[in-house]
Amino acid sequence: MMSVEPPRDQEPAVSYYGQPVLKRPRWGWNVVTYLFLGGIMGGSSLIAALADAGASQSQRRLVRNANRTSLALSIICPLVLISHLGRPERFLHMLRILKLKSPMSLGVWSLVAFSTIATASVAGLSPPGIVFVQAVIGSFIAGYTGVLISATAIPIWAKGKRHIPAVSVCSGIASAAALQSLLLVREGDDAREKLERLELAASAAELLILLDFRRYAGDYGAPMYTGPRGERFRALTLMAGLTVPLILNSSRAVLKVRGTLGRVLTVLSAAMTLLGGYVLRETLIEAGKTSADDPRAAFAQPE
Amino acid sequence: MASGFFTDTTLCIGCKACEVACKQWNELPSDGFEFSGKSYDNTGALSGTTWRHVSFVEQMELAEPRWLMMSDVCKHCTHAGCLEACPTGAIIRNEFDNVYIQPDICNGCGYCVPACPFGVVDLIQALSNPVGQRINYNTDSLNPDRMAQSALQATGGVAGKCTLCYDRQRSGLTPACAKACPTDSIQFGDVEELKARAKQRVQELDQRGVPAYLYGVDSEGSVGDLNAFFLLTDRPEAYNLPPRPVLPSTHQPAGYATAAITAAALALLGAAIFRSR
Repeated sequence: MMSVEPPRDQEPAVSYYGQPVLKRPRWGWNVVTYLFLGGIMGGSSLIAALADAGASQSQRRLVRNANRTSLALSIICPLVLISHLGRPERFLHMLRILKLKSPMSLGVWSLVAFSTIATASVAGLSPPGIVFVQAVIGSFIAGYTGVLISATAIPIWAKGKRHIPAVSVCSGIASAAALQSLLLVREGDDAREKLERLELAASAAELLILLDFRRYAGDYGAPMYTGPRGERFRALTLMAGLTVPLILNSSRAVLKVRGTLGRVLTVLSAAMTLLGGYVLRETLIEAGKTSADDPRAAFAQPE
Repeated sequence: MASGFFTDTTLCIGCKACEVACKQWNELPSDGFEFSGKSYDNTGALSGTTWRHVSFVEQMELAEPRWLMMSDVCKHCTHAGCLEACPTGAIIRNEFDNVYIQPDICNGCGYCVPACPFGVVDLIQALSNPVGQRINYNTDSLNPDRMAQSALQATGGVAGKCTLCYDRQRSGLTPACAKACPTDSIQFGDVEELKARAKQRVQELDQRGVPAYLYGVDSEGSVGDLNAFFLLTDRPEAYNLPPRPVLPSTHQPAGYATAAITAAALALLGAAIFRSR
């Protein structure tokens, strides 16, 4: 009856004058900044919950810092997001509905819940144990951004439906640990050493997932791993942002470096982790635009 | 009843009356005066303010050289990626089963743009005419739908695509492109009726020795059938259509699962680290 399969007797048609099939995502620096800061915000809330039971003075200070970071970022992040809208004055339209199928809708409502809890806990109004609720919401915020971009038709993002959300979580936690250790650089070594071990774990996982994605994505991954953007990504994220902090943090842990040298190592590895985290988000968004331009990738949309 | 388009590319003569009628009725600005050098296609692609696009496929390398023309449009998918992605509920399925962007609700978040597997919807930039003057729209129209549409286009910053002439349908009129098409290459009507007519047309062409098939009918993919479907004589790629469009939301379960596993693993590890002396 009806032939759903196209006739194949013609010469293979590669594309239509090489014109893009898909539209480029219209997201720029503000979305990149949100992905970066949202990851730090979520990671900070997780760290606050992890350090909550700690008794040492530096751990108590860590909890306070992490809560304040969460609150500050829960105010900044919505503003950054509003700035990227085509019609910023209509930002409240985001709260017309809750749509479970739309990661962006879920993200907006998580931000609302998160900032409410963050305000309450800094003001001392929250019931005990709420830090764990906040940590769960915060972890969701660190991860949903990855789901959001991979739930699109952009070939490289769609191909990364497993890798990108995991990388988002790792990068958020690593960046948050880096920022918190930076804020504690004048304090004793106890909390910082723990933070750096957490950062070590998150960065190691992130590096492994990013290397696996390069293999798994194949040609789909070209906009991220090849060309000038690929070189920048390799230098600033894979090397400076992940490998170097991994070496610094692990040698610090093994050699038990403390005191002034320990502080120098903290500042160095934290700054590089944060830089690498930002470049990762930027590379992901920009690679999506290049990927949208490639008709051959769009014709073979990943399942 | 679901309404839609049946675009029969074997009847298209490339006159672009559909493009012009669409621009005119919907008060969309011109695409400028640029010669692309790509056959007679100087429109290039669908955009936020170009809702019909006639492509010209020149196949001079074939034994029997031919020229294929197709008027492309929003597919009004059964399972629409843009509609699922939209966080404000601006994109709805209206009473005609068409995918419609409410211009007064959309806040221009841009998520629908990469969520369309056909590359149809785009954000409308703040508009000006080819010499750079701000366009002033006449909002004296009696039809409230048209007033909303005009107000949106004067300011831009929202998503735009084919409305399947929602305003005309509400007044019992045929969409502007189908009305203007001189060869009935674009047919408008009840989708089931159109599908029956299209299947008959495929058989007719088959008897004449013209291999043809329907794109977007009886589809097995996640996007489902298209309410604006096409009769094609070459592979979808020749017309810049994806052969197997994928509904983007199908990627979500795997994504949420790996995010949750990663977060749980790092949280457990973190708990062990912070408990340690």
